[in-house]
Amino acid sequence: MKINIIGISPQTQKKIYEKHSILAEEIILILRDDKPIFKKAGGHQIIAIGLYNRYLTIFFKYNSKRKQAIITTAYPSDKKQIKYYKRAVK
Amino acid sequence: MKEQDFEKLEGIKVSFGKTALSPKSMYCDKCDIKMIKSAIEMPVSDYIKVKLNIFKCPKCREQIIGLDEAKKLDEALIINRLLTKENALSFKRHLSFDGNNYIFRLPSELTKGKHKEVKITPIESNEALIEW
Repeated sequence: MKINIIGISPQTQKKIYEKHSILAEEIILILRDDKPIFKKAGGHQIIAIGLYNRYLTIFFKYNSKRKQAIITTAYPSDKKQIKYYKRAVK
Repeated sequence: MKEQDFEKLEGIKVSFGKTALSPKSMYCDKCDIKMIKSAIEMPVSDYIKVKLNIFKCPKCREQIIGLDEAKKLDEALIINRLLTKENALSFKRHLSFDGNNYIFRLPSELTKGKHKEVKITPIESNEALIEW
């Protein structure tokens, strides 16, 4: 799957920072420098789990026609997601 | 999301285009039309605004920014949190004293992973920025 455009609404970015102290910079570092695990969820959703200082779970809404992914939410990964990630990257 | 649910989802390989973080165009998901480039001043608080180059849908007015542009908003959000620290999420910790230095523990909720050192930047007489 190719993603040519990644975006976020300013309101979503503000919300995830206020709730979880997640910056766009952190998401960029995970997508660019880590090798996150991607999963396809229902309703054109993609989920990524990655690590850079901490584990984050990032949700995208993917438009396959435009190869565009918009971040809809992100949060620190829970224990089960971290455990899954560690097993998957071994 | 439960571990089993997550495991059941289809794994996919994803690659990113060279300009994915700084796209030159964007499309509205709802209206499926090309968004227009625009500049706005977004208020972060009563005192702080940040100038952003956004993509705006001419039909539904939805606004999206590229991730590289989102770094500008990051800086404004950090500054706002530093200035309005009374309302910000914070952790209190007791201090120990070893005869020379005060010692405190960083909460594990913040510091998952291994760290060897912290960087402390004084802000004023009794405040500092701590990075790990």
